[in-house]
This record gives sequence, structure tokens and C-alpha cells, in this order.
Amino acid sequence: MSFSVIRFSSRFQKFYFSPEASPFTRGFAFRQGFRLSSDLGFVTRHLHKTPNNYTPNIEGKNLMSLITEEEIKRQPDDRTRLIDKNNKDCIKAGDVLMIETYINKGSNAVSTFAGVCISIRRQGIDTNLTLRNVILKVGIEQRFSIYSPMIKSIKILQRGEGFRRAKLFYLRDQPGKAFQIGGLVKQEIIKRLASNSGPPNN
Amino acid sequence: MQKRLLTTIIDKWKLQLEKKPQWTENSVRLGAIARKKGMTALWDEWGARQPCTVLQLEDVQVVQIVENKKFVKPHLVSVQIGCSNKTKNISRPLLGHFKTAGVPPKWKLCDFHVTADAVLPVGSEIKAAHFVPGQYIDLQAPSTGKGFAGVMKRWGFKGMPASHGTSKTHRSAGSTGQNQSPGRVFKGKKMAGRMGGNNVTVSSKVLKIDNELNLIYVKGAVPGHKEQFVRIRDAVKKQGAACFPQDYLPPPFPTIAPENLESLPRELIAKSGGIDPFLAKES
Repeated sequence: MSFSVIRFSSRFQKFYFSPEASPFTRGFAFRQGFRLSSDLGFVTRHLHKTPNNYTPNIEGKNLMSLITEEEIKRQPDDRTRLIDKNNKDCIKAGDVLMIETYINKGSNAVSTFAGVCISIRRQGIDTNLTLRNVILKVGIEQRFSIYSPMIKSIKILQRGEGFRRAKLFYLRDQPGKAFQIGGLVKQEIIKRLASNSGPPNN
Repeated sequence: MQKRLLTTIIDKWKLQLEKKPQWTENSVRLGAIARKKGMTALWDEWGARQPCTVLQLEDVQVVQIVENKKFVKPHLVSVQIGCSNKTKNISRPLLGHFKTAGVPPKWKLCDFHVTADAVLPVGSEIKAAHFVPGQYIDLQAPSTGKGFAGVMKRWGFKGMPASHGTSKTHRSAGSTGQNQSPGRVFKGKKMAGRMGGNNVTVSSKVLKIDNELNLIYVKGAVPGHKEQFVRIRDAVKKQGAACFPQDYLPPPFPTIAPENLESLPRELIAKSGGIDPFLAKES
């Protein structure tokens, strides 16, 4: 093995450096002699073979955003387009949504909640939105985690118009006509019944 | 040139590892040091959301083994573990310490007191698969510093009314004692002062293990800020087999063997078990 800039002196202690340290950086102790060698015998980072031959590219990437990306890629349907800000058809605060959730893992029975989306919290895989509705004069809010496996579908019934905030918490005190959405829900149910009892496929 | 002595140094811990010691109920395994990376959420097999913290094991290696260490119980061996390679600003004494071990210099060093059969030879790496999904663990880290905190934040005092004549003492402690007898303030009186930054132990559970990125997903929150060094070890309050789920008994001992590690899938996810929490209770 040939050495370039070497001043090897037996007077100074040999010491070990990690594989990624370059001997030519300013922080490196030039006063001490060093030797480029692969026989120093310290343990390297990757001790084992990559299981399943999968190595995610972590160069220059934040670990948490990498994990989030991978988890989102694993999702069975494309819910991400509903909350992706780059998508022009994404959900915004003020939209009227109808969300169907499975009541438990054992059955296909579904529970529906419709309401105005008053907040979208973008937290990667834990992204959640809050729907508010007034049912029998009682204000009810429910928070849904979008990537939860219990969510069956998210449907936009009506786009919001004239809402100029990201979080519409002021609607709790000044609702105006925001929660008159009973008609929209009825229309949606009629549509569904019509499609269910459509012409039989033969 | 110095004369080099040809001596073969027998590493007794390497020999012990080759003999593959078996896990017993009285064995105390090694722990690890990890870095807190952030928090996310996981959904278990019932569809219930579980908030979790992501901890990463970064170049965790055994640095020093000391038997019969002072103030350590005689049947336990003190094993020092280092985490995260450090490339610059290492003092000469520390450089020598790592050179003896044959290990790259580390940011953080921690001691674990283990039984003699659980000791790993110097230089061996501890991977995330050392821990088992579903096991109970203890996490120790300094809590987030809150600075000089007032009495309401630090001790939960109720303060004083906002109006009705209260002058400039809305958040103060009020009285600190009695009158001439005892005539002094007792030691340990709850007062304002520095809050946070002290060592906190949290008992938790391992939800998921990522063998590729060396991650451990731990249920709930972990004290301290991101990129903090966290001490992980098997739960002290769950002795023996109670610490680990039935499927994963016996646990990797003294740590996960390289041949077993290669055959593991990338992710190991814990099962919550029990009954479906969303089922309506029929009374």
C-alpha cells in the first residue's frame, strides 16, 4: 500500500479514526502521526448483510421524513393526493367532507360522519383533520387520522368558499350558515342508493 | 525500532460468546444507547392508534468491561457501551481509552451492570434486534430543561386571583411558613427554581423494530429533546420472562447472533393482543 502525505513517527501515539473521517480536514490532529490503513481492525458500520436486499437511500435525508415517505408509499389507496398541497384538488379548510370509518376490524359495518373541515394538521403519517357539524343543535367535532386503517373513504361533498384561514376555529362561535349541510348529506345518500340499485350487470 | 513482543492475548469474553451462553430467568442483559429522533404514530392490528417515539441505535459498541468494579454488586460485571462515532475534538486520554478497546471514538459512554453470562466482547456491536417487539423497556434520559420556572409551573401551585384587589402577586407562592415558632422556613420548601434537565426514567414498550435503519419504535413519549442520547434497558420492574412476550422467549442472548440477524425481515412489529378495543361491551 502506498502512502501519500505521511509523517509516521513512532514517538506519537497511533490512534483510530472512524471510516468517514478524512485525514485532510482542518479538525484532524496534524500534530500526531497517522497511517491510512484498513488493518486497524475496528468494527465497521454495516456488520450484516442487508436483509431482503433493501437499502433505503439515506444520503442527505432526514430520518423522520424518510420513514414518513416509506409509510405513505405503503398505503393501499391514494389518500395522499387529498392532502397534498401541491395537488390543486386537495382538501382545504372549509370543505364539507363525508368520512366513512369501519367500526371495528371484524366487520365491514361502517359509520359515517359528515361535517365542515375546520383544521388540517399535517404531521406526516399522523396527518389528521377535524370535522365539525351541528346535529340536533349540538355542535360535534371529530378528528380523523387520514392514514388510519379504519378509514374506509373520504369524500368531498362541497368545496368551501370565502374561508381565508387555515384553521376555522372561529366557526365555533360564529357559525353563520356554515353548518347547513344536511341537504348535501341527503343528496349523497340518494346517489349511493341509486348506484347500489342500478341496472344489474349481465 | 521497538521490539514487538509476540503474545497471544486470550479474550475470555470472546471464548464465552463462542460457547453460546443460554438465557436464564436470572440473567440481566445488556442495554443500549440510542438517539431520540422524533415521534410518529403506528396503528396496531385492531386499528387503534398508538403514538410512538423513534429511537435510532447509531454505532453502539462495547468499549470496556470491568469485573469487580467498586460499588457494583459482586456478581455483576460493569460493561461500558459507546454510541455515535466522533471524529474531532477528542481529548488525548479519551483517545487512549478508545485505542485500548480498538473502537472508534464515541460521543457518549454509558455503563450497564450485567450478569457475567450476558457480557459481550469489546468491540461487538449492538443492533436494534437486540430488543424484541412487545417487550417492556426502561428509558432514561435528561428531561427537557425549562429554565428558571415559577412556582405554578414547577409545583402546580394555584396562584392568586386575577382581580379583586390582588396586587402584583398573581403567580406567587404566598406564605412560606408559620410565625415565631418555628421562625424559619423548612428545608425542601417548594419554591421557584430550575426545572428540568434531570434524569428521568420512563417505562415503556417496544412497538416495532427496523433492522435496516437500526430503529426502535417505543410507545409513548421519551424524556428530552431530539438527537438526545437515551439509555435503553430491559424493564427492571418485569423480572425474568415477564419482560418479554411469549412468542419471543427466550430473548436474543447475549445479543442477536449475526446469522439470526441476516434471516430477519426488515421490520418486526409487535402485536397488541387482548380483545378488540372497538367491540361494544355486551353487559
